[in-house]
Amino acid sequence: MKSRKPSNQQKLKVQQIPHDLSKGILLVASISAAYYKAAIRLAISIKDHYPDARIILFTHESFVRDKDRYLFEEIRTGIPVHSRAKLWALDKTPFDLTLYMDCDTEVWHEDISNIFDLIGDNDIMITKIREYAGKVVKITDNDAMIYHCGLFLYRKTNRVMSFMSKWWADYDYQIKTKPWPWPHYNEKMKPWDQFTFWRLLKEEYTDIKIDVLPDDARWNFIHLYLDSETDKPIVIWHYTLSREAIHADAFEHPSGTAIDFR
Amino acid sequence: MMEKEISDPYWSSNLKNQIVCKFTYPNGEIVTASVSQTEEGNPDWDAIFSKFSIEQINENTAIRTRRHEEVKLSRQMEEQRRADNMRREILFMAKSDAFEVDLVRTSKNSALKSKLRKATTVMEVSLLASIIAMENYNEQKAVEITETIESTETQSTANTA
Repeated sequence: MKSRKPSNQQKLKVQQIPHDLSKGILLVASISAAYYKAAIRLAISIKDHYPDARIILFTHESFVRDKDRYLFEEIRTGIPVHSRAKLWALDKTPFDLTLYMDCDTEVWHEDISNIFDLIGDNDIMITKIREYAGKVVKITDNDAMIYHCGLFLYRKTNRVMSFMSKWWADYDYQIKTKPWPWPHYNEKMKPWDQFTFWRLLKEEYTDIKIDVLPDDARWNFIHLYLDSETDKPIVIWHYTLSREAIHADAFEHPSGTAIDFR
Repeated sequence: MMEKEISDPYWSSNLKNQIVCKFTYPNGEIVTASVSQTEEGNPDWDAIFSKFSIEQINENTAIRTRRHEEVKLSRQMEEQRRADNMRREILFMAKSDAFEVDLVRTSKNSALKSKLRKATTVMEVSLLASIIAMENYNEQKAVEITETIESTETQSTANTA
């Protein structure tokens, strides 16, 4: 009887196959190990429904457990201890087409493997906030923050990477700068990364093509959504971690600055 | 006797034989008083009715009852919200713990794992996690046994040769 174990030559062949970086999923777990554990749970759910998915995780070295490495194409550490470390990581994607997902989401359906086909000729595809289930914050009389930045698809073009990099830099500037640097906008926008996103698209990156995913609720189904939001199976469930869970597993003294990398 | 201002009278009894109101004295002191009629007559009771009609007292009572009901309802809703949050949190932790168990996370049975993700009670989580773990354990055992048999056969073939 022949052994089913691969020969060394076969193993070598497997290792020599170049990694397909055309599309993949990017996760970021910062500040609290609760986010890391959530990211692991998410990665398991992705692999269950899309075994070929390539996932990169950005997190802190101290969170990483060896037993979780098999889930990821790569785990990159040395990230800022920052509530919006995700913004720092976005322009570091190795993929041509990236799906960014908040850690507190879960994949529920095999259609996840089709999400990349929805990009069309857009640069970014995103979902919308429902007013009854989230805060649609008004920026001006005519504008409101309608995009849910917890999940989106984006292309790796120079322009989009520049946008992502600016999103991080401007957000960090926005939360730290006194007095409020944009007097024509309400200072209440200060904590919102969606505001930075909105402002950059409106003022500096007007050429970036952004659209909403078709039947967007099923791609980012917030736990407070009504069932009537979609008549198709939910693909991505967004549950939101509790403050207690986050605080219980957070760094003892998070600096919350963009200088502290761990 | 000091002159006092009477305000906010309402019935404190369904029999309408007792009124609660506020007395504000010239020195600024405010006292909440319970007033009822007596056999000898009560000047406070008479003073209330000289200033307020029965309809006004009925209206004040209705407003207070409504407000009381609203507060009660809002307190009940808050308690319900807290209980729901706690239930959700416990369920969330149970699922997180389940997916930390190696026999669950490495299971190939994605259909059952999907059910576990969508479970709505801790009991459901516990039962599904047990089934998944047990099934995975049995599969791993079966693989181990097959590998042992294969290895024994290979060795025995080599020995025969």
